[in-house]
Amino acid sequence: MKPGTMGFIPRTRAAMEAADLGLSLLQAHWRPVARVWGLQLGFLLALLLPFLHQTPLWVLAVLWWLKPWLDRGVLFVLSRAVFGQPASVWDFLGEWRSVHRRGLVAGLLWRRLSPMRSYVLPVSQLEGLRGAGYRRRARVLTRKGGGTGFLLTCSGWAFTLLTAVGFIALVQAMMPAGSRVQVWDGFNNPGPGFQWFLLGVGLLALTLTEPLFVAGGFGLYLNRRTHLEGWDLELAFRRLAARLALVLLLAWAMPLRLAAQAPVQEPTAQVPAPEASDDAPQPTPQTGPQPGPQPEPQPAPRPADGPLRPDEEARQRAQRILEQDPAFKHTKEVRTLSYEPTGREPRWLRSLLDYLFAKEEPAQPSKPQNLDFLKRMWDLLALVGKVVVVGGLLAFVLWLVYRFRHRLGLPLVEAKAWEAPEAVAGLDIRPESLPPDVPEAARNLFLRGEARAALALLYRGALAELVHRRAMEIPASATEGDCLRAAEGHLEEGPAGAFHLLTGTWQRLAYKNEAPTRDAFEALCDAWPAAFGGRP
Amino acid sequence: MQPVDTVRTIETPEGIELHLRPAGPVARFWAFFVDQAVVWMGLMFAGIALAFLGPLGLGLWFILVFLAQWLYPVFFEVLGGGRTLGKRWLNLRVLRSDGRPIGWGPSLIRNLLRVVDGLPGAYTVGLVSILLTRDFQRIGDIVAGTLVVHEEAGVQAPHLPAAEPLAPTRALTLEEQSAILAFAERSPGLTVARSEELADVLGPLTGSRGAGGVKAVLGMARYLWGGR
Repeated sequence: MKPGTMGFIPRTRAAMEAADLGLSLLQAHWRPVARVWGLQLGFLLALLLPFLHQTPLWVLAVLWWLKPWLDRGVLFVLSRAVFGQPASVWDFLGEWRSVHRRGLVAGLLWRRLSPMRSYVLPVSQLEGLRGAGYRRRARVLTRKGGGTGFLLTCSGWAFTLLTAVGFIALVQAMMPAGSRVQVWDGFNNPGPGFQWFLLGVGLLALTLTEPLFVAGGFGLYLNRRTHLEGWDLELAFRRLAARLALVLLLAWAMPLRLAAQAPVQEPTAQVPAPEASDDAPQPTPQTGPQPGPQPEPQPAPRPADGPLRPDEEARQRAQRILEQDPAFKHTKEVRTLSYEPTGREPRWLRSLLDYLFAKEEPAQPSKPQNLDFLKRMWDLLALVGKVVVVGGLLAFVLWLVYRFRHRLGLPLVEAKAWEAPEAVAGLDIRPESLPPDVPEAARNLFLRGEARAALALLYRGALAELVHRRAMEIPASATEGDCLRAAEGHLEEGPAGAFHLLTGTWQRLAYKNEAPTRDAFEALCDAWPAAFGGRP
Repeated sequence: MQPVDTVRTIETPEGIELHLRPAGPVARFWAFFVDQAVVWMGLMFAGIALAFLGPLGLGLWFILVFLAQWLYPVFFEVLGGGRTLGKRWLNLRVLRSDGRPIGWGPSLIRNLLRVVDGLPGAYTVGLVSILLTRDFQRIGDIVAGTLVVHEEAGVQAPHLPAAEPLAPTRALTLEEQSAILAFAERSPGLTVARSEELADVLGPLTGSRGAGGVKAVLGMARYLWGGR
């Protein structure tokens, strides 16, 4: 690849910024992406609708699962754009085989739910790797930026869902005043019409957000390769080399010897000029809704004269005044659209109007907002508070009891049964790994010149005896010194001395490469059966 | 077609170039998510405390909800150097589109206009606006003249691999010098073959190829960094 022909400027970017690079690429090349996307989507719909036209939601589900196939079209166009080649629908069809050859089946089956799908898609589609090679490459790439790849996938879901919700809300908001169509109610009882509507909304949301997700992943991929392979460095170095070549050419061509220090040409980075918009219009912020002029009824009877009436009577009287006195009369005029059939409109219009303004139920004045749910929510919050406070106290008391359980004389929890490790300090200490006669086998090894193996055999034989017959508890990570200290409580005086000697000899050989003399080795072998030969 | 870049260069009247890197929808979504999580966690704790006051507490809590939703971002943006907690987490910052720090006016406008960006219910207008503008601005940003940008990483002294300092045979521009320094700093992360390939490009400067070329470029980096 020639850096000069690249469709983007390589830099070492942070991962989130790299995802934005993908979006910038998409913005620059959205036309060919849209064409290829439309072709793929049309193809899929033509394939699916004859079979699934009774259940449009299944069409949506299948399309959603087949997204990795749609992604390949987007990535194809963007990758061509990055390497400086335009991509038309015909190019896509012409490259059909190479686009789909590698990893499509895996992408549609076991890699479908991969959390970094768009980040590693180029590995199979553009680099053509599969199997172990794919996994190795994907691991190298996702070592950096993998977290962002995951966040990108999550935000992809969120954007698709939110956009779909937004479109449904938009349709609801566009219903004419007076219409009683409740779009959201469709979820309770999705009829075929609503299912088609959902299919449309889903396609729209996917079309808007899926290319964004693929482009973000591609941006991450490009940036990671820039980091790993120094694409930005190559670009800078090539510019430098080209400038030097020019300098040398001039120096050679001119009779005068030019001072090499003079930079001949400043390579200018191609950065688009920003639009200067320092004086943005500053409209005054909207003020909140004005409180309407609501007459506050004041029906309280004056309690000064006479004895106080009983409450009930007072309330009834107030109610009467409120209802009868014109001063407290409250009328509200509500105008809504309605529809009277004239018999002359075409049938489709008639059915649409019937749908929008269902005639059966007369328009009711809107009920005052029911705030009961807030009260319930509030009670719930108070309950949560109580539970948190009481639960926290309870947990604290339990923790106190646990923390000071030895002072309270509670039985301590028994430690889990100890299991002997298979190897200590890298030496296999399973009894079945030892020969029947350890000293004899060791002597043979020593005579063959394998002093290290011979001593190792003696040493691990001793350890096996200690661990398996004398119940010495040591972890697999214990060093020779640890073993020596641990052995003190498990051996009588004679064997303890032998173990001390054996350990010292082994350490000198293992770490200082200092082999024992023949006599010293024989002495060890002779002492071994008495000290550690518990095994018959 | 111009190559695509994420950096916008702005020149101040003093002739200084500022490099701004507008932040796209993914980073901003997560910043918003973190902010909302923080705000609602705080509101929940406040609600638990206020629940003991009964209906009065409910009223106070609603006032708190109003203030938190409308003024939390404004306060944090203006007093926190353009960064709410979520933006801090995601390394974002709000600036005026000419690179100056944001003030009360633009911050108030951009946050009040969330009403518009939030239409028709799930920030669809905001998302579409970000996708359609080159600098990823939602309507509130366009009206207030602001930008959300990625923070620049702090500059640190480079760790250069040990090499014998070597004076370049030609005078180099600032850009070329920094490219050589960047090569030296990143060479431990490059494969040997790729390092040599890159150094070979500089053959006219170093006069050698392969491992010798790499050594020469590393030496020049040492020299440029001040090793003599």
